[in-house]
Amino acid sequence: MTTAVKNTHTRGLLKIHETHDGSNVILEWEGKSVDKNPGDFINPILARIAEYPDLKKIEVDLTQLQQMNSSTMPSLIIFMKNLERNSVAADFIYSPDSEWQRISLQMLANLAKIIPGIKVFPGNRAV
Amino acid sequence: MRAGESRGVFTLRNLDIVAEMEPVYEYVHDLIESLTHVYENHEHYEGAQLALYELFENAVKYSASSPPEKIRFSFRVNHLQSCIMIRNKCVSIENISALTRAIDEINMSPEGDTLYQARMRELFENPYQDRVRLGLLRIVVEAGFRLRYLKSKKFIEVIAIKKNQLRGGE
Repeated sequence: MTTAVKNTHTRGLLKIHETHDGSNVILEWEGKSVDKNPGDFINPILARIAEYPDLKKIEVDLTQLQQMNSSTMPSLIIFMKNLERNSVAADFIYSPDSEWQRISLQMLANLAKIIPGIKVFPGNRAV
Repeated sequence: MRAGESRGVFTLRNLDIVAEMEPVYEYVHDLIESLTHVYENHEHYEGAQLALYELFENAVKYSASSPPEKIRFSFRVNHLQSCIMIRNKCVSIENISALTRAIDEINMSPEGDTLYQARMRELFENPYQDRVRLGLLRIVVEAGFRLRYLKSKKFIEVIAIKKNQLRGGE
């Protein structure tokens, strides 16, 4: 049995909780991604995770993300492209109760349709 | 918490906040959060917060820094509409032209979400761009505001307006 490793990455108002148990990773985003250059913080973390050996599946839970500026969107796109390159499947889950999430993530979902293994859909995973 | 759920939605009758701020990005969050308690249960809370972050981000990014000019800000709500106004002195006329062109393009497009999706495709092709250029589209498509502007020499004033929903008994 693999022991899950938990780690929280924090900068400013944004927390990314990472749970890693061998071939699966769960990333739970919490708070607000409103830094001037959010990619400076987010991109290296996501790039490192996308390169984990034996990684098969990632779940990105955005349901507890209260606010995200437009500068954060490229980081999500870069992450998706890295996952595609490494043949890692991923589910991006957003809150159907949040107006901005529904629209932003639906736009991302439309792009993700052409990426094998990447799905973006509404859900209520986090409590 | 989403406005409108357990704590109920209200319509502010008369909110009128006027402020000035140095064009420093780190001050943006403090200012926006200081407004939260005033309108967090308002029907437009989530959208207004999105609009504030995007408008302030633009204003700070393109503000003249030498000599520093304060960003002027107002947030007005009455029974008809919510209105955010941000005025700043731009680094250059080119910045103003780029901003007004972007607003004109959005206002002339019958479908803002078509522009949004097109921009997302461009970012998907090349996510390493200097300018993301999604902020104004998000204000219109995600937050439901209309955008207007006034320009004068090196000053630009961007106005975001959203009509309040009329509620029975009010």
